[in-house]
Amino acid sequence: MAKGPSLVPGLFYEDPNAAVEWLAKAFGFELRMSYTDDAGRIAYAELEQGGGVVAVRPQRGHSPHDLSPRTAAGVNTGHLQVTVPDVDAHRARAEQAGARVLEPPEDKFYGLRAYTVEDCDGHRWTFEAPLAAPAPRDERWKRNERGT
Amino acid sequence: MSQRVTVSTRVAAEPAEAFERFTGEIGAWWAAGALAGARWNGALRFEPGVGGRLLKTVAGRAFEIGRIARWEPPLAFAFECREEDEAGGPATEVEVRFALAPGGGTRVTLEHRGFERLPPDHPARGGLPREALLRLWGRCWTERLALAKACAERGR
Repeated sequence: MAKGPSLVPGLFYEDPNAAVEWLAKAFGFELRMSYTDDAGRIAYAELEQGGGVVAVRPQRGHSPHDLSPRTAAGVNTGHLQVTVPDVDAHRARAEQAGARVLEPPEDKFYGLRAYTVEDCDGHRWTFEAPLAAPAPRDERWKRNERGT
Repeated sequence: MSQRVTVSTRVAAEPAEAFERFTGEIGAWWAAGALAGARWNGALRFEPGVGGRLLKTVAGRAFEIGRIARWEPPLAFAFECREEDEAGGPATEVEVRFALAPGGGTRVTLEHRGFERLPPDHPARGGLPREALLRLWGRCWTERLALAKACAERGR
């Protein structure tokens, strides 16, 4: 048996073929497996990055159970987090491919550098990396510690 | 367009070495995976070059899985694909491509295509609806490719 992850989240896209290409170009995902229908349209694909796998699934039309955010006025009902080696390089690559960055990279008080971005269909992703040194605590945190 | 299954992986070896191991040791990774079983067992070998055969030998008897359609080391090879009880019928096609991977090693991509050529009652369909068949092959090739990758990386 090939070792794969025990959890594979899937996302719905209006054009799964274009999504697989876009996710490779913008986010650096590599194709692991896909299969197509008669027309060559991807019926299912798995993409990998590091030790993680995400599935790309086609939006089938009228079912409310497989909508892309692009069809559903931007609605997201989930959020994916991915650990990458270099958050800033990832952001540069994504922006170059036309991705819309929602929150630019920032050192978080919980020890991660992270940024949040929308993909080609409006799914929201956070890409993050552990910080070598903890970020300075912000004012709210200090106030909490002082009990004020 | 064609109904196709595509699997891909990165191998920690140069393309020439990966091509050599994938073709030379095809028997070591072919019969694995979700479709493993007696029907698929046997020793496999290529007769290298376009028009050469991929042969499977079971209990001393050789069967031609298919003819080689493309043989371009270290870039690609492709062959027709049938099982013994499908001799003479329509064949699917398997193509394996090797490319330098960004960041080192080789990106290996395997494409199994031509499922639309198989009539609905063809034995290779196993009575499965199209999507289930392709999903099964997707799993099978994912597992086979992981074994092929291990072959290509052995000793490194």
